[in-house]
Amino acid sequence: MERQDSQAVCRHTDQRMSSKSSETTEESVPSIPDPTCPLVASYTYHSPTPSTSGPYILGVDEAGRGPVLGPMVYGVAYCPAAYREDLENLGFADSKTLNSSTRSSLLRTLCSDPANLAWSVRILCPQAISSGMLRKPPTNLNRQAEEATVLLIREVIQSGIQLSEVYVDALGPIKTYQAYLSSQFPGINFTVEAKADSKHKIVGAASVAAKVTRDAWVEGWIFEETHSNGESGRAVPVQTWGDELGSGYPSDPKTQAWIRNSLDPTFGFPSLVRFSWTTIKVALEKSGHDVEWIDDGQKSLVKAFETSSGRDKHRCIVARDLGIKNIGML
Amino acid sequence: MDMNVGVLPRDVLDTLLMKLDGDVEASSLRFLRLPHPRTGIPSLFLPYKSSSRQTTTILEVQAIVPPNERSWIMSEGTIIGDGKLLLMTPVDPAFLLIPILRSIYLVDGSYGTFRPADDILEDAMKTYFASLGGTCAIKGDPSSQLSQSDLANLCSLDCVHTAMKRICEVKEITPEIIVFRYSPECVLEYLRGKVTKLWKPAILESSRTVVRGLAKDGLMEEGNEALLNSGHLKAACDLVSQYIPQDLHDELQAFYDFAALNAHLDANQKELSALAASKMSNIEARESGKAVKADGKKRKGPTKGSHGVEKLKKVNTKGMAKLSSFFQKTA
Repeated sequence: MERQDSQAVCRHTDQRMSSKSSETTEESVPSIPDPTCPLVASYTYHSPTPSTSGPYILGVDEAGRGPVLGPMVYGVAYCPAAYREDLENLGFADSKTLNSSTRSSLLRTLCSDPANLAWSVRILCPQAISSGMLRKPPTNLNRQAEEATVLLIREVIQSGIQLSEVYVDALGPIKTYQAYLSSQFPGINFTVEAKADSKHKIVGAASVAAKVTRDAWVEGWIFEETHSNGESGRAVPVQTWGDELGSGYPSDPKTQAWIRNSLDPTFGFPSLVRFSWTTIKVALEKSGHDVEWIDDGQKSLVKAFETSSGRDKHRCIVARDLGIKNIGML
Repeated sequence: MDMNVGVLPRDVLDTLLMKLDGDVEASSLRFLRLPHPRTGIPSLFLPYKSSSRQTTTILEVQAIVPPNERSWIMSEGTIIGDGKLLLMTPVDPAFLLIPILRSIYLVDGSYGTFRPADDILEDAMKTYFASLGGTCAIKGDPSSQLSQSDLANLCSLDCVHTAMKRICEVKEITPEIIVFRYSPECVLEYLRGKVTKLWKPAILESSRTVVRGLAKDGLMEEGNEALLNSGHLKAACDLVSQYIPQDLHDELQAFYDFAALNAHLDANQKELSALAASKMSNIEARESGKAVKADGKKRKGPTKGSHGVEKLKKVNTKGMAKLSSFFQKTA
């Protein structure tokens, strides 16, 4: 059974692939339902539920926490506890230590034994991340990560999988997090550890699922701003930003150049960007138009009491209230 | 080229489209810069002949410009910094004509003789032009320069000739020869007619500004029906005042009896200022009370200077020139 969140529904009916997305379709990633659609909302993907009876062990890891561009992806991978020995020999490891083609082949491995091996990912779109962080009161990144983790584990349990042990890559204070997760899921043994992805193969597998999904989204990124969404006749603005995104990390010179060149002084950045990142806030403050709130200060109040002169002299009160003026030239 | 956003009357749009389609027959549209009847400052007007009716209509070019700045964001992604919205609304040609014809009358107060329309207009135009002279121009605004040709253009419009009948005494000597004489009485009567037309709650209270004004003066309260009626009348006069010189507006208001309304408004004003005064004296009393307390006992003990100030106090100043020495004459 394949469960799929329908949040990422796309009205796009045109099946032609853009040249950009065809690169990634060579290696189509199951967790991206339609690579020709822009990512506009967070969603969850679950691989088919394995049929072997439990109990299961599960690993949790993340990809794309630090970058200023693109989604953050939370991944889980799970297999029967009895399968642990076999897992050791499949080559899973911390996704950062692997190159991109190895990761892709490992994701294929992860899909190769659906009776025993399964995985799920939660894709948090950049705008959901920023709006959470900029909300008042804010939902900070750790909180959003926790929510994604809990949601993934809960949905795995709901699909009928019985979990005995869960390994989680550390997030904030280890003890607090471990206690929190244990309280959410009584009866499951949680291990929260730093570098869990290199210590436990099942966490490594989760990190591969997350990393490959995130990379596929960023490499094949479709800008919703310039996407016609299948509606003919819809005015689509011309893309005013580059395609060379770099890694998405604020320290990457390519990413820095993209941020510099992509800022529109009025409209800011496309929705690929996480607006809650300091890099972006600084860029907007420096190069964007200043925001002036018209109800700040008393400018309009002062104006209301000014005696009018010239063409506005002795305007009747209705005209004054409506801001109607005579003009001398166009 | 500057871009403007505006609402055009359908007839004007049709005429423009016909022009674009290369229709030579279509009447041309030309803005006239005419002294605004209220201020005397040249402002834009647009006469046009509609395709359906053969008479000319004069539109007043206006802009909605709220005190707070705004911009237009167009669908093509362009931004127009000037956020004004142009509006063109029909204006009674009689309004434009009144100050012109009135200028002769204002010279010596005499009504003059009955004369054919063209004579009287030509004469009035010259007098009006001379009377405005340079006074209407705003410094640094070239668009406020008076244009004699635009004024002449206005006086040649058929609708202006028709409007003469409404504000002049008319004598028909023969069906071909009709003579006119400017009449302040006719003008006032005509303006009163406008006030009467507007003096209807349904019309006046369609404006939120008017309703707010009436409510603020306490005229909407029960038992104030007579005053409310008077308030409506004043609001109607105010609307008409948009299109007439200030002194004419005073004359128009003087015709009506606003004594009761004014007494009510004065009483309101006095009540308000009495209230404000008592509030003020309360505040003053409280503040002076505080001052006494402050004199009796200081709320805070002697404050310690900041770390920096304390440090500076301990600096050894031996051998240093006094600060005042820098301000003395050098030997």
